Amino acid sequence: MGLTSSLMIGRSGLMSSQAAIEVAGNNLANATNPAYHRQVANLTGMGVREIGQGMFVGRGVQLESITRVIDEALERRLRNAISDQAGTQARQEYLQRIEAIHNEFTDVDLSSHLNQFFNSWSELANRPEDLSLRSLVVAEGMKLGAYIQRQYQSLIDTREQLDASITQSGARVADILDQLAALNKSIVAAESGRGGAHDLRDERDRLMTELAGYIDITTVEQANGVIDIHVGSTPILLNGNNRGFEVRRETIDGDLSISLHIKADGTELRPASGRLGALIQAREHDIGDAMEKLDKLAHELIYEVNRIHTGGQGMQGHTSLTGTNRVLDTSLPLNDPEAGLGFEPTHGSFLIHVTQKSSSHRSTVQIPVDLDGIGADTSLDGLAAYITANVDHLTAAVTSDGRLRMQTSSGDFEVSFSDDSSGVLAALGVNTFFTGSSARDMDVRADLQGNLRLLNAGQEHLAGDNRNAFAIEGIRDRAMDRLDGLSVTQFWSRHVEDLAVKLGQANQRLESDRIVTENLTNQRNSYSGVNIDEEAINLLTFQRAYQGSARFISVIDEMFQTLLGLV
Amino acid sequence: MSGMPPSAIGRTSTLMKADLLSSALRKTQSELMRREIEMSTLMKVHRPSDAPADTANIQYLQGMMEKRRQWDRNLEHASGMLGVTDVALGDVTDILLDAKGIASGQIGVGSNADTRLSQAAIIDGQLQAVMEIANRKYAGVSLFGGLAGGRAGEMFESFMGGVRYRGDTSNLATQIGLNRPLEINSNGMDAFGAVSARVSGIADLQPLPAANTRLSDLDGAQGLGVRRGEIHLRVNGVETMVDLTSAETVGDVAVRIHAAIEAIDPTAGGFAFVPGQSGFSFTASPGSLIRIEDPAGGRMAKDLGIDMAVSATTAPGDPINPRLTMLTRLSDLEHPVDLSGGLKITVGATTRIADFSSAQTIQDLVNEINRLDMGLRLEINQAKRGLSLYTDVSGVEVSIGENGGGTTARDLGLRSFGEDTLLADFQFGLRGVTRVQGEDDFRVELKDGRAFEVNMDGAITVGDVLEKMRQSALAAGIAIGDPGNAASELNIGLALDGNGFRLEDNTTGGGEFAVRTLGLSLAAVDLGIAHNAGSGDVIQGKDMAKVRVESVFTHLIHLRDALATNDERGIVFAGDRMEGDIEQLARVRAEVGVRGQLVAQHQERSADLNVQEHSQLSLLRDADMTESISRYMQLTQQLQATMQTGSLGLQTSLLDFLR
Repeated sequence: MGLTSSLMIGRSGLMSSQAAIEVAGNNLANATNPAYHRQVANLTGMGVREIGQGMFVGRGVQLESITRVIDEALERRLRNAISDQAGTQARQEYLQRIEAIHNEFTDVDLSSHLNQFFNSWSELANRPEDLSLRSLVVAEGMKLGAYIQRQYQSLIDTREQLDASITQSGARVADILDQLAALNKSIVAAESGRGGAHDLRDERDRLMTELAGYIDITTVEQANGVIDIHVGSTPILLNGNNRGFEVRRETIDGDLSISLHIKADGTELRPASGRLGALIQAREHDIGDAMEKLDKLAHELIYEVNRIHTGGQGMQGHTSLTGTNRVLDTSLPLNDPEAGLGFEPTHGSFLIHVTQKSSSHRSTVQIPVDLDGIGADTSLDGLAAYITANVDHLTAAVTSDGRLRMQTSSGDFEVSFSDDSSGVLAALGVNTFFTGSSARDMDVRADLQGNLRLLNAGQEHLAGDNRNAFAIEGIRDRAMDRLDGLSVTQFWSRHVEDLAVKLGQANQRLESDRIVTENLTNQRNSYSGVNIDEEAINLLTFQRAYQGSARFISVIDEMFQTLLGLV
Repeated sequence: MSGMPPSAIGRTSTLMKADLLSSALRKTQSELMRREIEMSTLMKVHRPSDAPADTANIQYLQGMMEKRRQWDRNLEHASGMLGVTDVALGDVTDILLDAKGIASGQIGVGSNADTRLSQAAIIDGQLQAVMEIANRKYAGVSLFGGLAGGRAGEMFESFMGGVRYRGDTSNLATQIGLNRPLEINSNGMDAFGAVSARVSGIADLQPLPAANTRLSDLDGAQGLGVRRGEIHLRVNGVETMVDLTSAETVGDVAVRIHAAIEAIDPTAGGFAFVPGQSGFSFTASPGSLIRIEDPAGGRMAKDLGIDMAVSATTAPGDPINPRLTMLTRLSDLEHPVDLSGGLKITVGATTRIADFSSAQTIQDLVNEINRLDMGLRLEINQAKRGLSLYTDVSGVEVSIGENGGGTTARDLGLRSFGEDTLLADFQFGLRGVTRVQGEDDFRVELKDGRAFEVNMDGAITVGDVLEKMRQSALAAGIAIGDPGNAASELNIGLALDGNGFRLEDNTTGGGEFAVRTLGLSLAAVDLGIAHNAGSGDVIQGKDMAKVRVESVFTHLIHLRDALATNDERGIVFAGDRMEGDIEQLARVRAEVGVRGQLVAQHQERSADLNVQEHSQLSLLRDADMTESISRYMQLTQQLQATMQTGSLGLQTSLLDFLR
């Protein structure tokens, strides 16, 4: 037993307390750092010395370690929750945008435009030759076409924004992976398998949490401190190395496709959650679905209105008219996909009527549209030739850009059509109401806009008749096979309902995801977060310990002086 | 809703307290904003996602209300139209009552030719007034134009000395939300009787199918049309299904079934459509058996008349009965039609010939009638097997007869004085043919002195009269023939040119060829054959079965003309007919009134439904202001409390107490 050893005990107390005060100070300094995990200074005795038979006294205290307070399982759960929440939030954001584009429940929505369009035909049926009502029908048709086009364009714009967001998020993911790979190396170097690089680990955890916001990941820590990261079962960070991440943009059949891949081997990643996972899903399912539904509605509406319109008659017939729809290869059967018609005609026939205005003499010819795949089927060239050969006072030809053009032999003859069981007139855009075949190009035929008398409100060549207007108004509530047995208005309502349910579910899920994330964050903060009061107590405690050790040294010193005074 | 606090807090941290406070504030503020929007817009549902479960109902209600707005406009239009129509019908009724009063007042000794002439001018004015009323429009639509009511111009116009109707016989309709559309105007036929459909072809022209005949234009072997689907084909025990769903024409059916037989066994036989036959033709080679039948639930084979088996023979299918269309070729009519003669059509004093010699289709016949521009319309009849000729001109008499010895009018069933013409239709259906039951009605005397009496008992048609005359002549030992036959003694038939009975006496002698009335019977007079030809050979009867449109206009014209010509019998007659017109107008007015009532009821009902729908929509979308305001106040207090407690908690620390 000697005073020197006693001094050493005091020294160990001073040094340990100082280190513990520094740990507390560091904790206090990081009290508001969300990535920070509080650290704890672990003190331990330095062992004992035998001062007599069976009597031992301690050698002092030492700082055994500084540990990071972290619950890895909780961290993983939190990352999953963040991934879910980020995914739900991204999906909700885009569903909201689609809902905002549709603008339903207002007076400026597609449902209202559809009803106004059909109402205008109903109004025209009351006064079929009233030019102001004919003008109303054309105006409502143009409004409807323009509105659908705008809706579709807005969806395209939103999809482009989403694509940009995917690209941007992908770049950030690649950047995070680079940083994580570098951190893995730094941690290995700093710890050499002994742990303790707490700040580097905190930074790595922060980056992994951020990464989880983009894609759902699972992590596996190796014995040397390296973290491997997987998406599903595919590793993107393996043995500490970044395997690379890229967003691929490919155009397939004219449509842009976006997918996520591992650069190293091209493996496609299909994240189930996270912002990127949700964006990919929103692109394919939500925006894609809205565009498809709008396009389908426009397609069927154009076709059904046109089929009825072509079979009716206006206040005057046509002396010449040109189909609005092009055929890409005029020698192919009209129902061949390579012919390129937006609507597929079927096997059937239609009637052409040529009326001499001066004598009211009318000739009617049945035009076969042979598309049954047996023998030679009807092409545009064949159709034009048949009409020219069989209908007096009417010449049909194919224009240089693949449209059917018909011309009567003089202004005294007018041509009209009826009973088209093949749908070929609507497919070729002959004497139709709408032009185009989709939500991208729906509009009212230009010559109708210029001459309201060409609007076909009547049937059977009866002047003043309203049956065609009535029939077109009837489309509003008519079930259509190609719209899953729904009418156009029901079809759109169903889409709006589906979207509402999806968004409602996303809203609810986001709220529950938030609660889960908040709870887990609270648990994490409860466990790993810094409590200023707690650290203040630690500070006070270690300060007092420091003061005690200093006083102990002072006492030993006094003992030294006493002893030396004896000399 | 505020945040849910974490349960079982073992330890807190500074960051945790800050996060919890931040979360609580976010949620309270978000809820507050929602309530603020509710209060400022009075609505709780702004977007479908605000109430996904109610979206369908809201969409439905909004759609209904938008449709109802249009239905209400249609109802208003219909109400106005029917109201004005009712007034117009009332005006016409008043005029007819006046006219009838004038007719009554001009009968008997109290009137003379001068007063009648002056009254004729008044009736003429009334005729013009009725035309003006009949041409009235509401919102640009003719009240009495029927389906053509939307056309510009007048529906009734002076034409060939009469009044021509240019409208249609069906009415314009509008949608008011019922299963069936509501008719909103009337038409000249219903209101004024302005169209005669007496010459509605009885003849079944028996059209034959052609290769390009559409299946939709077939009545089918069972008279139920052709219901498309698949058929079951068995060739020598090998079975297959032939899909005829997309077959358009008779030719398509033949090609597809024949191809299916060939695909199984090219030597087994064949299936064809042969022009000129009434159905399909089915052949099985010797030793082969071909069977066609409908699969379970199918009907197409039966409809096509080919549900049959054929073995080692050629067999025809059942007739598939095509309907007459404008495209039907006249050469495809099984019923023979003489197209070389044409029709001799007389309207008033004008006679024109409808020349069908170059006609090839039904459309060509229609065009020729239109070309004549005589106020006639040729249409395919309702049964789609024959033709009808409508007369649209009131006040003139119409006769459709043969031309130059042809039989076109008879063949097409369009002769106004044909063998099928009812005696009841004679003299415009007013008197028919007056006979004395149980007694002979007239006597036919020949130049050779022989004679026979004709008893008309039981005769209903012109053909019956001809038969009665023939039987009586035969009974008298007279050799009879058809007009133009030089070998017989007496030819009995109808006029070879124009209309009327025609009797030709080929005998010789000093007697007179005459038809004389007997007793009290006026049959010979009413049949137009009471005539003494003396030594002549021919008695050409008058056309007593002319067609006349029995309309308000016709009767006013007749009254005017009878007054002007001092024809008391005509005045009585026209006055009597007006009684029927007034009754008809009353019926139409009642029917218009019923429709008007229906409109009024629907307007009332629509107003109720509108209130109901608004109310339902309000329940679904509108905010409950009491709830919104109280909740808003609660949230304000909650926000205040959160801020106070939160700031206090964050501000207080042990460090404040350390010195």
